[in-house]
Amino acid sequence: MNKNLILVLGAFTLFLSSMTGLVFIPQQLANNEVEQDVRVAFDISQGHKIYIREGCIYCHSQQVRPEGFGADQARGWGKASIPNDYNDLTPHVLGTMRTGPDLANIGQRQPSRDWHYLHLYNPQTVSKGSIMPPFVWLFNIVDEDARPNQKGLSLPPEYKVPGKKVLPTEEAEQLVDYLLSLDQKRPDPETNAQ
Amino acid sequence: METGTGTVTLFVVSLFMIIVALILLIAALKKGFFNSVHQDAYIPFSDDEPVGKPTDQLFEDDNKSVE
Amino acid sequence: MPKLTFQSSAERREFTDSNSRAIIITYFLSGMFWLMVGSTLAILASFKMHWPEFLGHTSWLTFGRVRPLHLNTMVYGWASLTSAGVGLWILTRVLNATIPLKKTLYAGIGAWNLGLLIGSIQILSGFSNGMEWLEIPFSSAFLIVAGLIPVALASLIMLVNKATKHLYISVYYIVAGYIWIISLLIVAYIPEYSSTVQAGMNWWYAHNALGLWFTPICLAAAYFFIPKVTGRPIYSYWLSLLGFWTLALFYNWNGFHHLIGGPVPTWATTVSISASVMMIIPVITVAVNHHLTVVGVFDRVINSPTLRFIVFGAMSYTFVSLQGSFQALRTFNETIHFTHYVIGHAHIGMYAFVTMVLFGSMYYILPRLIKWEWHSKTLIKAHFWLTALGIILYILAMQTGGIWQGIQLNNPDIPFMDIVENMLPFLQARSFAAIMLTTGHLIFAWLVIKIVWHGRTKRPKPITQMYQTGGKGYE
Repeated sequence: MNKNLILVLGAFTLFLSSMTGLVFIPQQLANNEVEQDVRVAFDISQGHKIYIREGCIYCHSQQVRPEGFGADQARGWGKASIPNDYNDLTPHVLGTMRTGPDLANIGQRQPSRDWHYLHLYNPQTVSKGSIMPPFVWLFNIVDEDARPNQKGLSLPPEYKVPGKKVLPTEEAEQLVDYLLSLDQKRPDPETNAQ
Repeated sequence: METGTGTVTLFVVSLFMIIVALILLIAALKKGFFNSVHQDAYIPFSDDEPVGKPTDQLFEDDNKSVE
Repeated sequence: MPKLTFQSSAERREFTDSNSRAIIITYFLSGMFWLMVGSTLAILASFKMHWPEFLGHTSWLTFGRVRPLHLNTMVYGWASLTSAGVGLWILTRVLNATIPLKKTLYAGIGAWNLGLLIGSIQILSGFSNGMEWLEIPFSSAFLIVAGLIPVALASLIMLVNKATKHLYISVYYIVAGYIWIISLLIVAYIPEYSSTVQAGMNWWYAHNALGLWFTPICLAAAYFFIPKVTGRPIYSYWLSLLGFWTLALFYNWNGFHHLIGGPVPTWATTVSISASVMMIIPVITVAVNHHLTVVGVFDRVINSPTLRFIVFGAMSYTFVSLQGSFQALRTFNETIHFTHYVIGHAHIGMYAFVTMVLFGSMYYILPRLIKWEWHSKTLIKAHFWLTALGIILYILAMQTGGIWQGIQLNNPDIPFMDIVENMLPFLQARSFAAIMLTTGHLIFAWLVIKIVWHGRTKRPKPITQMYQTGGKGYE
């Protein structure tokens, strides 16, 4: 019986130690440090949900490593990420894979809404050789003369569907709103940290 | 490691880990945890599957088919 | 529980086996089902990586949904269900106990499979929880926890009711593993974390799912089957205890090495890096025990389907753990972070170690439970070579490709699109490996079907000299 107790309690105590050290203490520290009252526009938080839904995190990270650790900054991906960059949106979007480039500062790096629509509709249109999948279900393909007040995507000729035009859905708009919001307009992390 | 708090936390956490390990080890020693250590290694064996007798030698005679 | 007395160990084994037959087979068949699902998803995800238009116009088959579902069906379906069964069966042997709470366990398996099914539909239709290893939303994940709780309870009851005086090392690992995975899941599904803390929790969880759940179960299996099949006690029992407690002490602190350089507290990553390096201690103790026990009797390993897989798995464990300790170091991590190398590393852990050990365990357990021999030696060998060579190809492709990818990523003069193109041959090799592995899985599924529903036309021959029941009903 004593052995059983040592086994069960020992195993559980060791588990609790790392739970406290790596989850609960960081949460307590974050409660003191992270801006508590973050308000995010509805479209942006909806776009974040679509970013999660389509699994963007499996190929794109959103964490720029500090200067001198990897070439993240030399590639122009932005400043070293800090907790306040994420507007406290959960689930987190840090990612662990760079099949595609880091997106922490994509809103500044690629501010063109139309580019994002084309890229999401078919990555090949703007980024030849990309292995990103197309997200056609975020777009409506309608007759050229339907919805006269809306202009379709300006697709390169070889991707045009004859007699049709491609319109972003509300979801595509929200996703692009979110991507454009990923813009590190903040001051340098060094001054910010103080 | 850049900040003082970080170093202190690291030190406290490491110390905590070491203390837990030592307490466990001493508790185990006191409970006679290691007294029968040698016998415990023989638990998988029994009178009809004793030490020294391999089991599960399915491929021993490769020329005969199973079917 | 009535204290039963037996004439011989064989009789007692026959009693515990006939008692646990149906429940263990149910775990295994559920696991096999999800292995098939997971393999299909693996092939889809792998081909999509170098052929983005492949089934690319259907929202529910997009890479970003298929890939997480592949992970979840393999982890919570195949590996977890099978681990639950393997663990319980080993407990019946080393504790000389029967499995209690059978009705609850069956209900648990039902809930578990239902949770996986609902969770799969949720992920494919876009309701993912959004964190790696935790994509199944709470609304279905609680069913999986409901399936795990009776397993842990049953193991604790067996521990208390045991007929043996001593505890074998496997018991430590199995009981601790069951307690750990439930605790982990409960902490992981608390919805109160802020964004970057959640990222830390995410990797603390994901690393522990491997380190505190699959690793203990599979090490327990190796600690049981290697002595059992070779007929030699483990090399040093004392070392095995040291290995268990150092694993329990260090492994759960490793998670933050997935976030080195990220926006998480530096001290936390430093703790994780030190703990990762400290993991060398339990790994060496386990390696000494597993490898020195088979030194000199390697023919027994070659001749046994069980040990072929389990020794392959044990070697992979040593390799993957030492690799893990080194890749946690900042200098190495700087290159391999965010690359295919890590995917390769994860597959050495989850496949070359965990899955191979589980295959090996099933090769030992099923003939004894069913009292029927495996259908074909040739097919077992085909299964072994397809999966062993397949995973080696997979790892070579992902890790050499990944290191090259990391070197190029850290050179800002190389355009990103060039790196994407340079990776294509490695991704295609991975797809080829995926086909090899899946073929192996299909062969194994066929073997499992043939042994479970074997019919009564042929008597099993005394092929293995392994299931000896004192001459009763089985040669």
